[in-house]
Amino acid sequence: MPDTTFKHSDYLDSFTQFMKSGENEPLATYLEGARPIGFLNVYRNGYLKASVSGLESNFPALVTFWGEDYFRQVANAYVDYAPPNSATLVGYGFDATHDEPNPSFFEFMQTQLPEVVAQFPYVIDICRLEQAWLQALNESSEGVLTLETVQDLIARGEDLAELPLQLVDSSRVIELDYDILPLWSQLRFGEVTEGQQIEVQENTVIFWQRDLQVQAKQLMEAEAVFMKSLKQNESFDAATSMALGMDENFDVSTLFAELLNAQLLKLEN
Amino acid sequence: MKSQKVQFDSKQSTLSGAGVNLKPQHYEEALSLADSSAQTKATPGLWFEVHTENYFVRGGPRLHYLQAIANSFPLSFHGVGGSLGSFTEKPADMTTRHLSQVAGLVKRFNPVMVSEHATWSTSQHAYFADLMPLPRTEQALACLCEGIDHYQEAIGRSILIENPTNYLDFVSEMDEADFLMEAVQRTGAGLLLDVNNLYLSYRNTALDPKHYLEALDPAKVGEIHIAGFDVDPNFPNDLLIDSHAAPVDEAVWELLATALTKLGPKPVLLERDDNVPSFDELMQERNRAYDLLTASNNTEHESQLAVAHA
Repeated sequence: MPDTTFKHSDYLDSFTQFMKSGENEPLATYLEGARPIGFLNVYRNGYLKASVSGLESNFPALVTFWGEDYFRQVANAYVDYAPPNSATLVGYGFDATHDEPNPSFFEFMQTQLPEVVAQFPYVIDICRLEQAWLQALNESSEGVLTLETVQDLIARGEDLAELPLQLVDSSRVIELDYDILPLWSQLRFGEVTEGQQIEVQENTVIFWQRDLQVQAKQLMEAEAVFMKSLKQNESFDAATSMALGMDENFDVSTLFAELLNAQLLKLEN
Repeated sequence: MKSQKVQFDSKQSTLSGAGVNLKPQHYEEALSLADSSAQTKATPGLWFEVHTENYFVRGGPRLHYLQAIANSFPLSFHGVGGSLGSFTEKPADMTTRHLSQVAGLVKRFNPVMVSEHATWSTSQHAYFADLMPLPRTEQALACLCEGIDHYQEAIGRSILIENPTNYLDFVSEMDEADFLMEAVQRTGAGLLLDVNNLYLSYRNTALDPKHYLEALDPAKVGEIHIAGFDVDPNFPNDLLIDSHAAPVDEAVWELLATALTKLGPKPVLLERDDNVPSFDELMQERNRAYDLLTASNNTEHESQLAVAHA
C-alpha cells in the first residue's frame, strides 16, 4: 500500500519546487505505477508555454522586432526569474502593481541581461509603448465629457474654467528617450520600413481609448507638460499655468476643443 | 456529519444545447448569429463559454463584446486560475483579489453556469499557468472542498468542478470518480465532465472510463466538455496531451456518445484554445455535438415513454 499520510502542503511545496526549477526528484515519493517521472514535464512545459504566450500577447511589437525564437529565449528566462503573481496573464511583464508585484520584463532585462539592453537601448521605450497601449485598450471608457454636456453646462451658466476636468481613465502619457513611435507602430500593426534610424530624442506620446480603439498622438512640449499635469491630478488651471511656463504662446482654448473632440476629457468624480 | 448545503441538481439547470468556447477573433461572427430567427433556424441551442480570467479588465472591447454576446446567448464562465486544490496553501491576498474579480464579473454578466477545475495552479505567490493534479487523499479533498466553498461563497452560487487530465499516477486513497463525487457532495457543487480528459486519463494511466462513468451520479453532472489532444512526439504510444489544439478525436466522440447514454442529455461544450480554426469549422464540430445530444434526448424521451406505458 502506498503511503498517503503525507501533508498536502508538502506535496504542493515539492510540486512548486519542480515547477520553478525542473527538479523532479522530490516528487518521486508521491508517484506510483511505472510511468516515467519525466512525464511530469508536461506540466512544467505547459506552464512555460502559457506564460511565454502571455508575454507574446503583451509585447507583440517586441516579438516582431526580435523574432519569435530570440523573444522566447528571453521570455523563458523571465518566466523562470519572475513567475506570474496573478491568475491572469493580461499585464504579465508590465510594471509592478499591487496585483503583480514582480519586476517588469524590462527591469528583468536591465538587471539580468544588461548586454541585451546595451545592444538594444531603445527596448525600454518599446516596452513602455506596449504596456501603455494594452492598458489603454483594457481600461474603462465611461464618463467621457461630450460636446453636448459642455453645451448643456454653458447653457446653465456654468464657468468651464471652474469644472473639475481630468483626462479619461484610459489615457496613458508615455515619456520616451528615443523617437520610436513610428517604428513601434509599424512593428505592432504593419509592415516595417527597412533601414530606419532610431534617434535619441526625448519625446512624449499619449494613448487613449476611443470607440473601442486606441488612439495615439505625439505631444508638443507644452502639451506634454499640460497632459502630465492633468494626469497627476492637477487642476485644469494649474496644468495650463505649467504649460504657459513652458511656452507663453500655449493656447488652452484650442487644446480644450481638441481634447473634447478627441474624447479625452472627463469630469472628476 | 453530512453537509446541509443546497445540492447541485442538473435537472434545475437552465443550460442546454451545445456551445463553443469563445475567442476574440470570433466575436463578430458569433454576434452575426444573434438574430433570433437566424439563430433558431441555423444554430438551435447555441451558447458560449469564456475563460473567466481573460475578462479581468476594466473596460474596452473584451467587455463590450462579452456584454453583446451575453445579451443574445446563454453564457458560461469557465475559470482556469482558481487553484481550488491549493486553497489552504496559497496567499490569502491572491485568493481575495481573484475571487473579487470573479464575483464582479458574475454579478455583471449573470452567466448561466460557472465552473472551475479540481486541480491547483497557485502556490507561494506564483501562478503556474497550467492545471496541476491533486493526490486523491483526504487532506487534498478537504483542501479542495474549502476552495470550492470559498469560491461559491464569493460569487453567491454553486459551481461545477472539472475532472483533470492524468499523465501519471499519484498515490491515492480513492478513485477519481469517488473523490470528485465526495467533493461535490460535501460542497453542493456539481461536476463538469471533460470527456477528452477522461479519454486521455484512460490512455495515459489506464483509468477505466466505463467504471468511472458508472460511479458518477447523473444528477450531479451539469456540463460536458469535448476537445482535441496532441500525441507527444517522443512518446507517441504512451503520452497524449490535453492541448485543445486539434479537432475532437473520433475516440472522444465515441466516449461522448457513451457518456450521454449513461448520464442522460447534458449541455456539451466544444473547447479549442490553440491552432484555432475558422468559426465555421468550429461550428461544424459543435453541430455534430448538438446532433449527438439531440439523439440522446430522443432516446431518453423514448425510454421515459416506454416506462410510462409499462
